[in-house]
Amino acid sequence: MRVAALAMGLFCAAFVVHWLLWRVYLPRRQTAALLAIFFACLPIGLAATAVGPLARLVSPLGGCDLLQVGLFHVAMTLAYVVAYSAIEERSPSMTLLLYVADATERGRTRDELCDLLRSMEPIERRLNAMLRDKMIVEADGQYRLTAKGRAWCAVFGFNLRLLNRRAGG
Amino acid sequence: MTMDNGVVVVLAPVAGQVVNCLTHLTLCQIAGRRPYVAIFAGFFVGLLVTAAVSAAAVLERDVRMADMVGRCGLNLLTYGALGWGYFHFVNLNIASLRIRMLLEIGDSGGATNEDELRARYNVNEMIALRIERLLDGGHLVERNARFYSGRREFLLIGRVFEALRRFILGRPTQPPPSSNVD
Repeated sequence: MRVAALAMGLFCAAFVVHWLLWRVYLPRRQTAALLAIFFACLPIGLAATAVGPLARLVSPLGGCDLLQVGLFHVAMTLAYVVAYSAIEERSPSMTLLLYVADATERGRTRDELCDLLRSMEPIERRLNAMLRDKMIVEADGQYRLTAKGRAWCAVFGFNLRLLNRRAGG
Repeated sequence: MTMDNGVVVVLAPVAGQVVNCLTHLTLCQIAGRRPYVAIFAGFFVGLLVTAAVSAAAVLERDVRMADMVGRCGLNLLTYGALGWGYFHFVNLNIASLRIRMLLEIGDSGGATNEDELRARYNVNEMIALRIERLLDGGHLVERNARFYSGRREFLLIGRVFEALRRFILGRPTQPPPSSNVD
């Protein structure tokens, strides 16, 4: 039980650090900042359990214990980063669902839904996001894939073939 | 707990996730136009594998009940997190406009201009596609040319994320464009 308590305690501590930092300063590259905070807290937290008052509570820890704590922390960090993208900005589908729900029994017409999604400027925002994330570059009126963009294409193209699907969107 | 036994316990969620992926990919060849059935079935099978391997490895040694519950619980949470990440990775392929745009730029020889993109991505068709997807999933229902809420699961998730947005970001409204992949 102490291994589980240590693992969850480390993750919660990292979350508290992230929450406190966000109260003071919102980083421009929030995903990168989250990964830095959570992955830094793992070795720092484990080192803290080797000395001081925490050592009496959780020691001795074997190699498998550390591995289990580390795997939990990495998996939960990646899961939170994925969830954070939905926290940071609402997806178009979720925007539609909440917009319809807010209308309650009155409902929404198709034109209202279309106007809402059109106001989100889907093409422009995604192009700007890809430019900001350096997946594409713009030159002479052309958008070209960067090495990072080509890597993403390769990964997702391969995955689509495995899934036996065409790209959605 | 022996080292071999301990390694099996630790790697149980990884084994579960591997089974999740393999089950999902196999079902994709069968489930056809119902991708989310394959995703959830794969997750459930992987969850069973994680639980079974964790329990078997822990029970092999004389472990206190509290430790057994703690380790198995931790493994289930770890597997849940891995499965959550896998679900979103797969969902990007199914629903992400950004990924689709990226792939089509790639298919165009790695370059395109904005006019070509706009011609390819008719906004009205994109909107219709999203609405049809929500109707197919039962999340929206259409009656007398008006749309109403259907199934509540995703709506509940949306409300939870709204609450989390207020708690973490301190604001309920949409922030400026970010690196959200969608």
